[in-house]
Amino acid sequence: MILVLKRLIHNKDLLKEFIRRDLHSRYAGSVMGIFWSVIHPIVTLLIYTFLFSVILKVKLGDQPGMTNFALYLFCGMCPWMVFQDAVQRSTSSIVDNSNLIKNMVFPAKILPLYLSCSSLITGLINLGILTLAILIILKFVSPYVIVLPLLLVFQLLFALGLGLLTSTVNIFFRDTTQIIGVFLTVWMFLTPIFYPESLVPERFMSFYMLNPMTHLVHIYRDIFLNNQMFQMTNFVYFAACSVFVYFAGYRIFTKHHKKFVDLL
Amino acid sequence: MNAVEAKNLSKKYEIYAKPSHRLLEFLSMGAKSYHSDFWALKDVNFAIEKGGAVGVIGPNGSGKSTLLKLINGITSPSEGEIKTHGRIASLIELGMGFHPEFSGRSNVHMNAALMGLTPEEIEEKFESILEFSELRDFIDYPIKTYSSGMQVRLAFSVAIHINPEILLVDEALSVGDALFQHRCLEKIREFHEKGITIVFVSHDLNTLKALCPQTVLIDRGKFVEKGETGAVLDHYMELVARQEAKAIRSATDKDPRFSESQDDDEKKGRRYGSYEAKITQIKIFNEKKEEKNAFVCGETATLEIGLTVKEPIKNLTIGMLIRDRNGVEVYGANTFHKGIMLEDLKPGETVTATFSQELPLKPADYFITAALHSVDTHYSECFDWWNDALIFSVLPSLSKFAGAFDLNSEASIVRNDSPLESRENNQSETREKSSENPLSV
Repeated sequence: MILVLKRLIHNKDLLKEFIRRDLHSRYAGSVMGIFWSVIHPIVTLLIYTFLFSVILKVKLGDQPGMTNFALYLFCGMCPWMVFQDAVQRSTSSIVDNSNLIKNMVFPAKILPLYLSCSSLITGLINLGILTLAILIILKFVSPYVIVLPLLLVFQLLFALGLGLLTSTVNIFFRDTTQIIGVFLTVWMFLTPIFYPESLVPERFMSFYMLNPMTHLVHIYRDIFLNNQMFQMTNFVYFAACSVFVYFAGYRIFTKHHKKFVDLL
Repeated sequence: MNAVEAKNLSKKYEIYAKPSHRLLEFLSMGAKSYHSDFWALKDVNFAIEKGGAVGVIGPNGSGKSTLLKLINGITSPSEGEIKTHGRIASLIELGMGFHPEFSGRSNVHMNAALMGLTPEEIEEKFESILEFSELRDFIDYPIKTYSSGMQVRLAFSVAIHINPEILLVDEALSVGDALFQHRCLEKIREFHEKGITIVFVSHDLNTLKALCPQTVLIDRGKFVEKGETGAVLDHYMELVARQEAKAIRSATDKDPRFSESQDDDEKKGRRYGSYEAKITQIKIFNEKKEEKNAFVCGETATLEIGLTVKEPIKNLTIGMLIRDRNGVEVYGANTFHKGIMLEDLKPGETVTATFSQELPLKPADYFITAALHSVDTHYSECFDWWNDALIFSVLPSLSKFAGAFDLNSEASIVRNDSPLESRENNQSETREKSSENPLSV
């Protein structure tokens, strides 16, 4: 697995350039520049707090992690947004950059890769805000945050695998971008982000447990909000899914990548 | 040792009428085919030896760009194989390999990295790339703000700085201004002298001839020939003329050689007369007595008009008139003006007249009218008047000129040096005879 990743990072300078450009271009031309990536999650978190703690007064339980719904929600959103952003943008990445692929020997797989990496970096900023908010509101910082790098590797594999797959399919069938958009929205609501798993009726539970993102969200809540180590079952399931999805995506991508230039 | 080697090289594109057909075909799991095959290249065989400079020429849509992309490795062959040895730098199409949002600097880094340079090497050569492209003031602006000429300049600068062993050049260069083109060609020539293999696709015959000793001709995806550039270009021009004539024919239905009968022409009002004498054939030959319909500007062409006399005629004049596409009379001649008297002709007699002349005409299509009448004009008695009986094309030669005719000026100059600088040379004179047309031999 490491070997395959290594091959992907073969053009690491190019990758760096793409990521740098991407992060830069999100806020290109704006006066505050990169600060928007900090301001945005702070405002989101503030408005959640206002909405759920002041207006709706939602309270899920008495455990420390459950008392503040805004934090609960934001914590679940963090890994999801990284995932959604990466997959959505990867899907159209190859078609969007057809001029590069058509005119030079260009390693197309760098496109989904840089988008996944760039999403992870934006995600890290959100996680920083989350940690800070938890420190201010709940007055603790979970020591289990140190396992985060390990998690990020599998998150990257998961998003990248799917991105490689959807970007390939999109070349053959351009409606994929739209389909993925709808699909991701449905997927988001079927992942316990806006509500705790405990509210899911028993008969749907086995379906929920099939969803790797359910496990990932669970892991995030354990680490950040519950101040405890993640459950091994969650981790193993998510990691296994990630590796599987990555290899599947990678295989399909490499199987077809020679045809790309003729189809663009 | 060959730098490029193509063996049965073929490239197929699958064409779908609608995007949905691709999905339908996929869903049918190979049971049904919704696409048509298009062979951009078919069974192409050739080799380019290391250090060679080879031109590639062919009419539009002949597969030149596909060939370049195959050599480059951007796309892979459907059948056969292409082998290359050495690092390839390419200038294919405009906007090539540039990310429009990235700055010129980032794009240089990206391009060079993709062509195999390490970051250290790029840093080392960056100054020189900047120098050649003359884009120092713009290098940190995004590529999308560059003009097409600026993009090509940057692309070319990168390409020549990555130490290629094979340099592929498509028509991208024609976008740059004259000065830059000149510098590029100088550079390419310098590369050639250094032993770098050059593959050059162009429609500019002069450049090809100046740069490439050998040229490959392809037409509609098929390899036609590879040989000495001059000869290949002749064949190419013939090919183009033939296709052009065909296009004109189908567009205006004007080439009577392909009309069903002479009556057809009469019906269309292209031919009329009393037919006491009738034109039976009209042909045009080159100097080698080969029947042709395309001539290089300045080449000698011989028009042959054959006729049969039907009724006794006292006095006959055979004439021809060359007109351009707009119907403007370019040149006309007849036997009467040339002092050839044809008198007292009897029925059944056949006559053949030939008009031999150089064609120093502007490259274009021309239409020949043939006529049989009495004395100097057809106003009194007209036996046979045949408009647009023949079409021929004039192709560009190496000697360039402006206007309708090549009057083949001899040019010379007298140049006086400033007397302050050197007194001895102040009367130096340079004479340069205008270059003779090398194709019209």
